[in-house]
Amino acid sequence: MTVVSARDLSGGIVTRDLTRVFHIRSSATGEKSRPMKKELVAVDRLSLDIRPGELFGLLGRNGAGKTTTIRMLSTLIEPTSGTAYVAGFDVVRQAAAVRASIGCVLPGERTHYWKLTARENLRFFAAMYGLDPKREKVRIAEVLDIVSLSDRADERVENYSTGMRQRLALARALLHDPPVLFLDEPTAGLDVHSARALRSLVKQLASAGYTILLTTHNLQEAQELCTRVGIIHKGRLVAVDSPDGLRKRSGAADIVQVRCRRLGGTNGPWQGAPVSARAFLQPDASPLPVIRAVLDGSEIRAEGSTKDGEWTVTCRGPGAASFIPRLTAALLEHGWELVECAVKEPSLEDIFVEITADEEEGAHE
Amino acid sequence: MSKHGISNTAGQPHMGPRIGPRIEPRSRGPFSIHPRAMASHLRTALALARKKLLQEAAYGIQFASWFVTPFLSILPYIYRARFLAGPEGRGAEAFSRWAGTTEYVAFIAIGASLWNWVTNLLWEVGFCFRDEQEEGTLEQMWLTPAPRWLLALGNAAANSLVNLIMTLCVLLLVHLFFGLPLVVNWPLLITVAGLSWLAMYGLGFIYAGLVMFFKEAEHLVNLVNDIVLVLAGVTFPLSVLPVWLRGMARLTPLSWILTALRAVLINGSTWHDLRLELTVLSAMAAGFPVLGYLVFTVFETLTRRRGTLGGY
Repeated sequence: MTVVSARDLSGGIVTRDLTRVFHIRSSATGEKSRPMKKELVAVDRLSLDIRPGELFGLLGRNGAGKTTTIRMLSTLIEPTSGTAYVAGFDVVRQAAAVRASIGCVLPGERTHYWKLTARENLRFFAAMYGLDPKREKVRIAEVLDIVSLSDRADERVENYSTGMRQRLALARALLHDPPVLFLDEPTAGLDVHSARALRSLVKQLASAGYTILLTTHNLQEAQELCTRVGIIHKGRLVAVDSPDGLRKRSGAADIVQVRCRRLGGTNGPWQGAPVSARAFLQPDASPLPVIRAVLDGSEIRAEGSTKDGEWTVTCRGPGAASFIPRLTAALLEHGWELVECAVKEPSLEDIFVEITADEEEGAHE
Repeated sequence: MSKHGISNTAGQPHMGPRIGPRIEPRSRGPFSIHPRAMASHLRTALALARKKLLQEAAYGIQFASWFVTPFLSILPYIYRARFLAGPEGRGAEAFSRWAGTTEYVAFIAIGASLWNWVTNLLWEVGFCFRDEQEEGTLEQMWLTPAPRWLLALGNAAANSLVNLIMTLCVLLLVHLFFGLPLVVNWPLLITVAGLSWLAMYGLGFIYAGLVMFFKEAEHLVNLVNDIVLVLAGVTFPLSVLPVWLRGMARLTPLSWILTALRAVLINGSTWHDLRLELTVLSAMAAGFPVLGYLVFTVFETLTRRRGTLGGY
């Protein structure tokens, strides 16, 4: 990885060994119910370079450390150790300058004053950001227009839908026109149409040149929007690349999906063939041992499931496609009828599952 | 989504990221006295006050009760005092030997209404961030570059205004219903009230830090409230207290405030008469805000370090 200094990325985001440990008090059960303290490493030595103008996605399961990372970068909580620069400013020593340079969409609907209208909310935050009063009115009208809330601007926020509140949160983040935006699961809880509209807006913002850090566990969203993604698992950054790059270098580079059923089934063209006699003797058999025997010695893993007598087996791993002739031959030889055999392009979800599963196994070893 | 697309404030397409933030007045530092910074701070404080009033006005009955409750709350004290004073207030003579005045209605009405004013100010500053924390808006407010002391000041400004109106209403009503005599040296009254406001604002800041960090500091605050109610001599003169309690009362900031305000409002005291009270109040007005700011900053940093700013 090329090491880029904070100054080189003055419009972006740079972290080095950023760590956050929480001390959690839990009540113990048992004879002596003395409260116990334990340490939770929410973010573990995170080193990240996000270039100016980049839309970077941070992916991870619930509790992986995504939100804690955003909270540290936005100065809401202090890191336990390590350094972080946002727009060229240190998040600990130059917190006020960082806050002036960022716009944040935090999760939850209660981030607005519900008894105030959207315009009153924005007017209030314009003053908090020290917006020039001459610009204030124009800018509020602009951001309301950007998020398509102009015609509902004078309604109280308590009457808004979830999607409208989320759009208002984005309008507030854009109010002072900051170079960096943090979007923490902006489409969580939105219906399909609202989520799609918000994604389209985020795309426009990215093409307008904002540096955007987006956290999500919606992998399709990350694939659609982000130029690069980082996968965070148990507080550690385990992979960073473009969605395509991750696909190429991932162990899940090839996915072969095989659908098969026992020869001699009622619909099979091979019904009555002599070889089927073997199949009838083993009605509950699985094709997995046959397939795993063929793949033995390779890094390809096979997993399968069955429904209505038909098996679907997914083989993931480098060069899985090259095993197709041997797989089909072996299945036929062992009394299996091939219904379909397809090579699938791995999605970001496949890669995410692959990487986080590897990490999980590594942790157990 | 936008029919105009995303553009910057000049209506031009956003050509790329701006490297670093705009140089806004408040980037000069939280205590800058640069005119632009001062103007920006003033706008922020006014916006906070406006927001607070808009929110309160949204709850009509609650808003109306602000102006009625304080008057109703002091009536029991006044009628109890009348009952104890006996028919035609014959006991007022005995009262004056303790309090230095026969105007027991004025004594109690001023004590109770000013107690309302001062405690409201104290608790409102102390709990303004707690309210935001419970509402879920504190983190959003904390994400702005506005100085923390300014956020508390703005909230207090709105409350101070409402409290001042409330207190004046109460005094006017007492004047109308009970014939409260008001002999006022206005410059002296404004000085005493201003010094009291600064002192209580400083103490409120200490509470704000404690409440933000400990979350459940309400109980501590209630305890302190009850102790101060006794030691400040809200509805009785301090001279009725045992000697050892009287000594403790002199350590209570509110007792100095009430003594000075009663002296101005009832006895028509002069600057010279109140030189001791003014000296003490000036020291509190200078010291408590500084102490409050330091304590608040320490607890705010600890809260962010612990990562519990948004928690409640």
